[in-house]
Amino acid sequence: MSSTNWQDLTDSDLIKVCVPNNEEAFAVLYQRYEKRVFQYLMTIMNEATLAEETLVEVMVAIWKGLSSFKGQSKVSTWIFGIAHHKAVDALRKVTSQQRGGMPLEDIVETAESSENPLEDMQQKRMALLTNQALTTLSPDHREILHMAFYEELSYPEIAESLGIPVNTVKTRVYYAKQQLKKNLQHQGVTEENI
Amino acid sequence: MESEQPVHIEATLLPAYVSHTLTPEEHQQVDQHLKSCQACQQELQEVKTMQTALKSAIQKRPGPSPAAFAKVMSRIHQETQTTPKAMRIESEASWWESIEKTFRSLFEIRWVPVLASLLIVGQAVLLLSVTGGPEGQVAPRQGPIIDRGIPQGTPAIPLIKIQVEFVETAQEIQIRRLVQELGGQIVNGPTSEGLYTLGFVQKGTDSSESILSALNTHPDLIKKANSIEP
Repeated sequence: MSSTNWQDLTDSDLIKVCVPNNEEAFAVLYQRYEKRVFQYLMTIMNEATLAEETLVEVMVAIWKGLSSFKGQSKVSTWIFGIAHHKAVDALRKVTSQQRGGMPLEDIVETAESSENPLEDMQQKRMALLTNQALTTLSPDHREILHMAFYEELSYPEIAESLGIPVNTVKTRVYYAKQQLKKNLQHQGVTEENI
Repeated sequence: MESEQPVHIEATLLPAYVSHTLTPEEHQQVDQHLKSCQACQQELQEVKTMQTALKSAIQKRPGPSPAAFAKVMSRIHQETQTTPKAMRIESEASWWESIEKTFRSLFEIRWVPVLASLLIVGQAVLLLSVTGGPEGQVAPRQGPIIDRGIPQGTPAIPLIKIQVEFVETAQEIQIRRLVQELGGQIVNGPTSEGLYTLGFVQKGTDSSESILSALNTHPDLIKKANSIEP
């Protein structure tokens, strides 16, 4: 099977092709999840260098575990479960204060030149404020908002990835959202100007 | 207290309602509720606004460096090359090294729990032989120590048992940390085949499937995990 065909495969079929030791197929799986896992790690860790180091750990763990994936859960649930544990391990070893990386609140990609620079500037400012509001939440709250609001994983999928009951997911998402709203309001952001 | 309590249970379902990840029954329940609840309509609006803001902020962040993939593949190659090399060195090892290796394996850290258990059992037997000496000297006669802690007839706590085979490179400290993280305990092991039996007290919606799923998110430590029927 050529690598062009692999692009069309579902995640779980792609994993079957990856076993045993098919690096080209793994590269396709890597491309699908690289940015998603990295952004998830950035949300939790708030530091780019640590997030990238942990991304490498996650991907190596995925490679090693390909043959043990039996399809009992969705591939994304399995991968985010691995990412969660690797993030917890990494944070246990090092705190972001001890590192010299770029903090999340300062990271917003430079806007490309466009026809409406004023709108670009406003969007960039909003992204900055939202990232700032996000960083003042606890890691648990940041993580659950990322999974529910950005990744749009279902509550049972989040529960499985984090190893917590579904009811805890429901209430944690609710409280995290309330806290984010408060933080945004403190920065003068209201629903109207988002 | 983190924040005010949700007014209605449906309020906690609204993020999943917006992302269409509720079951059809739950979706219908929220639909019905929204028709008559102004507070949850307001909450729904807020959820949508927050989601838009968050998505936009996260999408504007840069991705990982292009070097990340090369780092991953380099690590994978390094690790796959290590195994054959190690095997080669083993075959070339002298008879003295092989004897040393055999003895060294006897003192691997995995034997520590087994040794500790044997010592505890030995102490218990010794203690029993002292306290349960000739009749009349020790009164009143008591049952074995193990029977005195939990009264007979106390209902057993439901325990989900999982048999796990860890990867050869897993260290005892990593195994213990993982088991502790998942809220379990090592009930037995390692056996001569290197198998551990882990026990998890059944709480809430816990099931052997949910525990197996949690264990399977550690492929770097766990080779195989199966539930043991009670």
